[in-house]
Amino acid sequence: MATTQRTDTQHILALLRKGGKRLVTAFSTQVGVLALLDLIVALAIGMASPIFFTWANIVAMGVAMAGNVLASMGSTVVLLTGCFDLSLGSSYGLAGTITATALLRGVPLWPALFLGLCTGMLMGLINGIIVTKLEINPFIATIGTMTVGRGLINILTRGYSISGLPPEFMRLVHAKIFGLPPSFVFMLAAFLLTDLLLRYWRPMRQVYYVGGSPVYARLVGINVNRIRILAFIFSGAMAALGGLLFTARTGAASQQAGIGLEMMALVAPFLGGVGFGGEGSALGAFLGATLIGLITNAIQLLGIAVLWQNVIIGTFLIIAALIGMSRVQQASKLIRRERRKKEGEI
Amino acid sequence: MTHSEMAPRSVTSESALHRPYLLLVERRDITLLFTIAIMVLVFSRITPHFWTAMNLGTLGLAVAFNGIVVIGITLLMIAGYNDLAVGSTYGFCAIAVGLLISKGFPVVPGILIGLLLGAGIGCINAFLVIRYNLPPLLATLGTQSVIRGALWLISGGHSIVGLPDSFSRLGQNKLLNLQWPIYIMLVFVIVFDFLLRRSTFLRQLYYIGVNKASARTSGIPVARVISVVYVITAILAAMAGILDGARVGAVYVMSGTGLEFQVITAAVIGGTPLTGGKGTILGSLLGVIIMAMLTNMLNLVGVNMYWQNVMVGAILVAVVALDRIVTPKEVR
Amino acid sequence: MSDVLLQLENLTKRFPGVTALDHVSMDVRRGEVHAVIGENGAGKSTLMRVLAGAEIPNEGRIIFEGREVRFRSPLDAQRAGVAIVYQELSVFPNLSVAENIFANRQPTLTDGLISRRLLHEKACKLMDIFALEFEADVLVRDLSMADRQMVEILRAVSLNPKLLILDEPTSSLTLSEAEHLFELIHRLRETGITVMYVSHQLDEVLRLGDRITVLRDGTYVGTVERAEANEEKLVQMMVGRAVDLYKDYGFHAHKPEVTLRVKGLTREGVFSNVSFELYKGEILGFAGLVGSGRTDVAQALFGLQPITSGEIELLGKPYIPRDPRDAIARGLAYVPEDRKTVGLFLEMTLTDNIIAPQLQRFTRMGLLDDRTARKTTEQYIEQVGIVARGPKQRAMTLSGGNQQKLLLAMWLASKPQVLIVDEPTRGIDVGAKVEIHDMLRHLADEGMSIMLISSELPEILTMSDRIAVMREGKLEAIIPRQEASQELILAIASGVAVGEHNR
Repeated sequence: MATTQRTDTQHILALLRKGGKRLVTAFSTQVGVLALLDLIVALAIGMASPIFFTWANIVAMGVAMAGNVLASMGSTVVLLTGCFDLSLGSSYGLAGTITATALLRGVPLWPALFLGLCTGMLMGLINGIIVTKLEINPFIATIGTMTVGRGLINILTRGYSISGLPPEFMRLVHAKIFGLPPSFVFMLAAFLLTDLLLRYWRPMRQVYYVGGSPVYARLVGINVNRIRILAFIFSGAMAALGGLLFTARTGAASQQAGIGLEMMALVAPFLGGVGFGGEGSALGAFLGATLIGLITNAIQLLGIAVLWQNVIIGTFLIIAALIGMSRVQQASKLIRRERRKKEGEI
Repeated sequence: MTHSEMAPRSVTSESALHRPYLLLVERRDITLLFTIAIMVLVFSRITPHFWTAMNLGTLGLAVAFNGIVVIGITLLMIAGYNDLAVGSTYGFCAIAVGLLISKGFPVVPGILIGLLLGAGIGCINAFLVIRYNLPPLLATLGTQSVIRGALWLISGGHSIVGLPDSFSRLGQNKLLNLQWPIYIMLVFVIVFDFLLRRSTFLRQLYYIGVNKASARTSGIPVARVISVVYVITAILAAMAGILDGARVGAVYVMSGTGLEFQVITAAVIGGTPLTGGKGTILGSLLGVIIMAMLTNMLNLVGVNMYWQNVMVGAILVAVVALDRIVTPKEVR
Repeated sequence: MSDVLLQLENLTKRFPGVTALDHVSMDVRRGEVHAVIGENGAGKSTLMRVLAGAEIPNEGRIIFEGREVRFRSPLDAQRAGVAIVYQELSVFPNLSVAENIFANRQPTLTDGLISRRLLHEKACKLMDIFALEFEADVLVRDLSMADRQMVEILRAVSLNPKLLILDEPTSSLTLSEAEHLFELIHRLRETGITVMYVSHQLDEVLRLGDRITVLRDGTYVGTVERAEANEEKLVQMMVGRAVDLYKDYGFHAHKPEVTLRVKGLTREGVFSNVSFELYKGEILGFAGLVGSGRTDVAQALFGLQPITSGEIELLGKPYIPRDPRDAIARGLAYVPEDRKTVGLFLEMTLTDNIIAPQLQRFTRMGLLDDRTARKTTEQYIEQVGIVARGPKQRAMTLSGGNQQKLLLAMWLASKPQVLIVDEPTRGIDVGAKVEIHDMLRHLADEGMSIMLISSELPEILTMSDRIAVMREGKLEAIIPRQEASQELILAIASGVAVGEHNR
């Protein structure tokens, strides 16, 4: 066991050097398998369609993915704490709706956007309180808020889209950050931020402790309820952000916005190896969302009927899960066998 | 932390898992019946249209379809499993049958094929969950997508309307002013409730749900039991979907969407926790009734459909919260 | 500076339905290893949880380093310098060793940004001190129970506590690992840490403790200096009466018939070439270190694990174990070592539990015969001596000893010819232990063949007619009772002596 001082680079190199066995185990993980899958699918599409590897297409794909990615980031954090959030879709839709309604009532641009964001955070807060203080199952609680939220959306939009928004808002439709659409930028930023924070920011790292063992987390002084509430607020905020970006991109608040988002926001993390209770990473969820994005993009580029989309995604989910499960099982069997052998000796 | 050696729970908490057939209900069921009774009283006061034969018929129908599906879901949940694909199964089998019949296929064989398709889906679910040990939520999430996709594929995105009378008779004929599906549901509920309470085969579900490892060690054939229940659940979902199509005389592409959430919620209200080990068919049926009554009432009162969503969501949370407050902690 | 580190006065803690601690008063001297012993249910764990701030007492005072303290949370206790390692391994299986050790205290650069490098370093440094083999990046989930416990101990030690509390630390350790732990405790003591060691194992406590405190039913019985302590005295204090633990049952002749004949049983990578014969009416003990394959062989016989090769003859007929259901039908019963997670159905009634392995027997035309089930349950409750109100009681409300008896009853009810018991008296009180020993001996005398797997050598030595010793998956030797001794078995189990004993 080395105790010499090391710089971070040397540390990483040392880990890399720990060699072949580690790499194989790494690729046996869910994330590794998923990364490979992503690569294979991307290459396949690239070969089938010359348009795929163009910058324009990649950006378009990123923009289409943005909602999923943001929602998945939020969902991942909630999943890590051992809960799940089925109300993401409603936060997504409601944020846009509230902002649009506010704009039409004369509220200036940025406060209106802020209001939309707060809506998502408020829903998250409500979810968090219901789950922690009232101790209601997250399934029921978030279905409840989802239904309420969807209902509010319907009331405010009366079944149609809210359009005719003021010009300063409409300018956002074509806005660019660093020459890229805002959705693309925010998507990457959200992913990087979430992943890095989860790995290196101590307050956020507590999420893993809560998920791993809520009982023990309390004993080491972590306020489990507070972390869960904050996780829900984060997920609500992410979903709201996605909804705002969507509204800004299309220039209108649609009544349909966000329907089915919570499913995608569960599928992507699941694909990426995020399990209930402290398992997984934002990277995995991002790769999962990427896979879904690739498939969707492929369907458009290759002219495959949209009908196939569900089938393909569902199949990939099952395949990825199968590979992941069997690899993980194999790996842990190997490890357990080694330890057993060790124990038998003195 | 295990206090089992330190603080024995209140020992009057006898196992609420099963009772002799004479004593139909357990503590939670009584609470639910009470809730329903109060709801009936209140609703009848609010509007005279509630307690009418016609409205009760409508209400009964709403309960019938979900009631059939909730049977299978309850069985799975007791054992600690789940099936998120029931909605897709409901829709897919209905569309398949609709397609066949609209092309002239005879009714009875057509329905049988629909049920067989359901059985097939059940086998696939069971295969994924048992053979490959996939978490049920994940696996059935996958099959849900695939089947919904298949539904779109075979229907080409079009609903099938104008189904012949020989088919829609099944859903529309009445006996004593109540449609057949209601009776079918009642029969199934009574039969399965009885079997769950008294048959050995279904009793094993409780054992599996309480402690799968102990069940294995005790020689309970987990794989066999769970596979059978997955097939049952899928067949029931298929049947409900087909009956729904028969009642309306048409099969819609969006049929069954969101069904899984509705029935799982109903089961949870009815006393079947998501973690398993407990639950009854009767309880789940009461859960379905409560949810249907709420929607029905809001419709009657003329509440804006959109507000309905809001209220249903809020009331749902309230009902479950109430239950948590009322139930003594150790029985949970 | 006072000699006394910790003083407890009249500590009382009540839970609904039971008083866990009843006016307990005691003191702990600085720098000593103070052992606390008592039966299951005596209140030891509750007392430790109160000291660690995980429970708040209803009455009483705690005086730590001369000042009265009130711990309102585990953090309070930690800050005061009290660290505890719990019995139920409370680790975070999804995180690495380093992240477990410094849970919620990861070293940061600034602003809460974790430095992975520092984390790794500090963890490695700590692990070097104790010469551990695994690495700091390993996920705790992949570690053995013993290693996990090590991680927990490291966590406690890294807090630089003044008082370290260890609650039943050897419950998941092998003999050699336990030795390791004892050395560690001595070393800790030398650094000035005071240690409180909770256990119900007499030998450990007699070995480690400078002073030994006995609790019984939540009350303080007394404290004994090591010089004056012996097994009898302690047992008497623990149980309240004189009990003859590990009495010598003497030699019992078995019948000539062979009920189980095993030849060359192999499961690749787990056990190999295991052969033995089990006679009617005998108790064949299985000794060996943890991991030697005893449980694996038993589970394979029962159909819970696969076999690569080998022949088995059960009651004269060839037997291929397929699954537990089949095994039960053929007359085998396996009482698993972990009653809570693999044996019982805690949320269900006694009746549900007892009939579980043979539901078919209670089935008429597909339906369960509740009345017969209940009658059978009552019969076995009496036969086995379970203290319970009735067949409808929930299994989780029974005490540990009664739960173990319930587990036994569950399998006895299937009327087996061959009974395999795996650690039958682990973690239960002395009274129940003796009762179970008596019961097993009686069953064997009536003709049952019993395979007794146990890590408690005194248990094996006093109960078995012959003793099979396994090591690393191989059956090294079968020793007749008269020739067996603790040293001999240990020697064979660890491979020090090459067995010349007949199979």
